[in-house]
Amino acid sequence: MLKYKSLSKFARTNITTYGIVIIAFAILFPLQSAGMLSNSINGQLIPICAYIVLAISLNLTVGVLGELSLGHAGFMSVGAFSGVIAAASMQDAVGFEPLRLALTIIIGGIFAGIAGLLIGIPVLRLRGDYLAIVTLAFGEIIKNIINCLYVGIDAGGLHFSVTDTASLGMSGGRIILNGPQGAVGISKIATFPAGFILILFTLFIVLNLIYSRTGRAITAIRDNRIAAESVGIGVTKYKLTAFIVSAALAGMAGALYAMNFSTIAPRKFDFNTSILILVFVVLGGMGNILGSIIATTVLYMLPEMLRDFRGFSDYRMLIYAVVLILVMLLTNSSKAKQTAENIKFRLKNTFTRRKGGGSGEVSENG
Amino acid sequence: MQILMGTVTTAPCVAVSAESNADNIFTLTPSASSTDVIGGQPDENGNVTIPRKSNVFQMCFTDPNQGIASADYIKEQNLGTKIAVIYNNGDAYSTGIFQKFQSEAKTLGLEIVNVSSFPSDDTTDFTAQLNAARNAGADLVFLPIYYTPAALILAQADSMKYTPKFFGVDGMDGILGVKEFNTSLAEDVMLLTPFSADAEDEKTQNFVAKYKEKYGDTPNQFAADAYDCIYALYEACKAKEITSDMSNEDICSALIEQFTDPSFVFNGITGTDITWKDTGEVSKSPKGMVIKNGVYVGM
Amino acid sequence: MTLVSNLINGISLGSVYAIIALGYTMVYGIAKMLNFAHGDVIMVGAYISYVSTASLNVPPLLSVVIAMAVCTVLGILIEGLAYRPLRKASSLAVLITAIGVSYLLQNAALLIWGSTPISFASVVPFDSVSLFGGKLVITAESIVTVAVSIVIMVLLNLFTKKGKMGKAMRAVSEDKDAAQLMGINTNATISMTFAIGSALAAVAGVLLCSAYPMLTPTTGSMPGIKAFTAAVFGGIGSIPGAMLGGIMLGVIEIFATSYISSELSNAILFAILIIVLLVKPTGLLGKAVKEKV
Repeated sequence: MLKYKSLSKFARTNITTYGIVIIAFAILFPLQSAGMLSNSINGQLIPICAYIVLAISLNLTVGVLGELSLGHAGFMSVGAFSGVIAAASMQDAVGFEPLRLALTIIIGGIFAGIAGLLIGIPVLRLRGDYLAIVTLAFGEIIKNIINCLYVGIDAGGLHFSVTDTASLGMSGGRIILNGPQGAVGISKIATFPAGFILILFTLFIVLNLIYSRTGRAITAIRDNRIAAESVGIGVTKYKLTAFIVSAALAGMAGALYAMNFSTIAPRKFDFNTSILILVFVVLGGMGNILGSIIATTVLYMLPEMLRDFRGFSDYRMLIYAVVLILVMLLTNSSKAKQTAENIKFRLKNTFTRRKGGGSGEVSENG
Repeated sequence: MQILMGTVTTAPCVAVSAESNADNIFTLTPSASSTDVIGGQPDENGNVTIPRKSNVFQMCFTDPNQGIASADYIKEQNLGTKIAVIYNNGDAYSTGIFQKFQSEAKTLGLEIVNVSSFPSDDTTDFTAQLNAARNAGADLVFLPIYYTPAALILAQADSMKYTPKFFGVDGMDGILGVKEFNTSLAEDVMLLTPFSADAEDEKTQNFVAKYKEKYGDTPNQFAADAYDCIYALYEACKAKEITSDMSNEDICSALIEQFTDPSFVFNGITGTDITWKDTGEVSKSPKGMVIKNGVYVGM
Repeated sequence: MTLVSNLINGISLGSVYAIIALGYTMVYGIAKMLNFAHGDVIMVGAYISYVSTASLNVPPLLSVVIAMAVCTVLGILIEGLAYRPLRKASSLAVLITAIGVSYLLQNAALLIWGSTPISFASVVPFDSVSLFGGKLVITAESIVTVAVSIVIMVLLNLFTKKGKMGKAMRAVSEDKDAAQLMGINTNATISMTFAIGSALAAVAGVLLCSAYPMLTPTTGSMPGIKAFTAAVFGGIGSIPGAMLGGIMLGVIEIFATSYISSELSNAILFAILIIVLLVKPTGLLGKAVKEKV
């Protein structure tokens, strides 16, 4: 019989990750179906699924590829709004809601993936801080463009305009996208099982990508780009792969998210949302997929759970900011690392007998 | 929750009313004025974006009605000949009022010389829009927006030495309360509002006195609308003998019946002879105010 | 006349961006980090000035000085507590920490002063200038802003070219470790950089809110990002570059709002940033730096 401990580390992590997600769903779904969950928790289930997928996909870019992307909400919104348009177009053609939802999510992912390709080609030529700022710029550009988009549907098909609803030239149709006011009158077809399946799908793609040859190439680029280039790794190709996959998954999450609300405005998918997802990723551990899942769930639910505690809700964002800074300091500053090594060294020596000279070294960071 | 009195502004109310509609909770909003809140209203092209939510009613005018009333008022009182509009096209409230204003102005033969917009309430620079209005020769600028961007527009117009007449709608109410705002900038600004704290009638004066005592501040029309909402709900509940152990669905059906009953007439501080149609819209007469010396004065 | 009026507005707005961009560019050039929280120091400066005039009844000019003092201390504190421990860390970590500091400032301001917008009283006591029989009006704020930004740029240039501290800053910006070996106190130099940058941010905050009198905890965020765009546009690390980038960005923004669309003006700004970075990554006046393996 396979012993848990005897498996390779990568298999162990994978099984733990899938396991936790499946067990959580196995507990929550029956509760939800039986109507035993409070309205508040019920309303959070689908958004949490969406944010988990967003966090995992951002972790691919930030943690695995090592490039800071500050425009992730942009891909989320491309997926959300293309999904909304697709769903509205299919409303009569595809009556079976789960199928319509699946198609919506797939279409959202495809459009976001295309956006990832178009944006990735120029962006990934840059590095570090410049790349971060350009992703932020693209996030804002996407938001502004969707702000100007008017889409309607009538018997004749889809109509597009960038001026206003009147110039759509429709008669007796329905307005899907109303410029800055966003999408109104969405029929809410998102479901919790769909969210669960999307998470599993994301895990499948991302975990397999990380532990494959492509994934190793990507982490090699993160660790030392010049060395990777010098051994013949096509940096641009692999960067682009990670970026597009990340964008597509974000788009799928966006589509799921949108189909859970009756109205969404482009304004919501702004820099602040990108930062929120980044906080989830950082606090869960960069490159740590399971960490992203747990951090997202905890951090998303915490404000709702503690809403009744007056003090907390006022101080919530402040506490998040402080915790973010502290986590970054603790995990990155040379002093903190040294202190951690010192403690480890002392603990090791307390519990094991020293074999002529002591085990472990404390390395000085110059 | 059995009955909902809210929400204050349009944008959240559009979303909240959709949810309360699904849950069958009677909703009376004091000041969310968009037609998307009550639903079922066709736009200027005859398209219905949102179906009627039968459980939602408004204490305030719908934006289209405010837009129409503003155009009528400007025409009747001859307040301006060349009109410019600056509106927020990211806001259902502002856009709704503007669209109806525009079509009513066309019918009345009012000349709109320039229309410009801004995307959100935290826009800070309006020099481009004001310049456009000035170059078109506008002597009246219609501002169907909230008071925060309005305060900036007034300040920037002043420093540009552009002095048209300004006309706002109920969103302009509260401009005198903006912290550190130089109220002389709002001198002669006109607005359409259902409530003025300076009105002489006994009901208003009672309300204002009690409000000042409790909160130390003069109430604005949002406060007055909410006050009227609670009393309207109270009278409706009394008439239908609604008790707190009833389910929200039963309460909802009873209240819908009461509000749409033509014999249900409410007298409040935001209007007298207030009645409701089954479209959710309210019927009452609008009042025009002008700001003189930092206070609202009836026109 | 509209063209001239828009041009003047653009230059005036651009000068504010330039002052902010100078802070960004100095810190990036010397400490090699993107201080994301810079935009929010602007906001703090404006609030301190407001509190001084409103609650303490201090004359406007003195309130600016107080704001500068407070922001200087704030800048040094932030650098010492949040950035110095991460000197050896990856730039990703530093950037994320900076974002954390930015959020900290915004939410602290939210708790202290609330989210209600405050109509900021202009610190410029002069009246607008009316030319050509009223067809062209130049606001006093515009004139003062442009003048102040030119003065700052000249002073900063002098400071870095002459003077011991200036030389130390240039040395640290070229090679931090070599500078330390030469006996330069790099910690003090970097702290000084942040101090100057933050003081400038306070001035920028006061001027920004004098021209656009609406102050909320998020007022500094967008101008901060745009000013960073300006700094990159002009060439990060270059003081004249920050000035040039700022002015050009201000003009482009006003022109885009007037002649194209107010919604798309931000998109156009950012699109230009992207194009510049792709075509000439070091910006207009920046120098290309070879990366050593």
